[in-house]
Amino acid sequence: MIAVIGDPETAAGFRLAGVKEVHEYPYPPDGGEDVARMLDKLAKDGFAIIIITERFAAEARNRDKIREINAEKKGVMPIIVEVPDKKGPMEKEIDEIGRLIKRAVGVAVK
Amino acid sequence: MPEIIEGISPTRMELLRLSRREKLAEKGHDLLREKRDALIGEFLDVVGEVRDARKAVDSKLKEAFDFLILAQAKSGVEQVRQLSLMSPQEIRLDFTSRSIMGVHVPTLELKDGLARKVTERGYGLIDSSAAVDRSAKSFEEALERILKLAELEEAVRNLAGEVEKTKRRVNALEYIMIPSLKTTRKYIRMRLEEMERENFGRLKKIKAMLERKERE
Repeated sequence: MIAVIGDPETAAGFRLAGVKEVHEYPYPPDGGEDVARMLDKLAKDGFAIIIITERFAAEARNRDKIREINAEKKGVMPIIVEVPDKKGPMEKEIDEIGRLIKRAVGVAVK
Repeated sequence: MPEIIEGISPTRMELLRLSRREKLAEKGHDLLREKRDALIGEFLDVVGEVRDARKAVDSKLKEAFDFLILAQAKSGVEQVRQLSLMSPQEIRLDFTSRSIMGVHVPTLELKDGLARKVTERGYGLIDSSAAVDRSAKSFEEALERILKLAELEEAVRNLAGEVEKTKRRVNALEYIMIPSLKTTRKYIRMRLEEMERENFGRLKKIKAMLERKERE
């Protein structure tokens, strides 16, 4: 039900916490579409929560994939959550929540 | 000037139908406006919660990574990896959704709490260290918070979508539907009055003609 995609440290940590579906990829990524493809596969396999590190999610290809999955999903599954990795939270170029507020309310609320 | 609804014949029937539709549209508009305001209130509440949850996740994960790095330094990266491969278990989730004013919002519940006892983690006690236990524990706690965050983020996303949809409907009613109903109604009323005046004139003319005939 829970899947994790992350660098080796994140993977080790979540495995220790007992998550079964942990996919680790080297960071920095060695090119290849592996993460995006894995996201697709996990979404199709019906995982409820997909945890992905921010640094992986920020890759253009993965970002597109996440958007695609979110747009296509019916109902509430899967939920993709981005979490910081060992280097701490990333400075985000687009604040998703802020963007949502602006669209919903019309003004940015801090 | 709003558009007049096309293909409408200026009759009394149509006028009655239009004013009924206008009343309905206004009622709908009021209801939707209330819904929108309530949704925005709810949305802002959840946004606040998301911000807190995000902070909680960030700080807990940072702590967890600190412990992990410590464990790796003590037992070696490979050893921690090996231990981690031994500990998977089935994490069972209860996935339901409740609804806030028609918006589906997920609720995630862990069937059995995440935090486990040392002996339940699946790796041997001899080849692990206290640091590994601590990092496992804090990752478990972090995971719990991440689930909460996932739930809230999803709620925010769905609520935002619904707010937008409601806003669009309110605006469509307010700026297009109701004004065009109003102008169409006005157009029909004026056409009817004009027809009445024409008729009045015609009657006068006929009356004059009849009187002239009688006199002859």
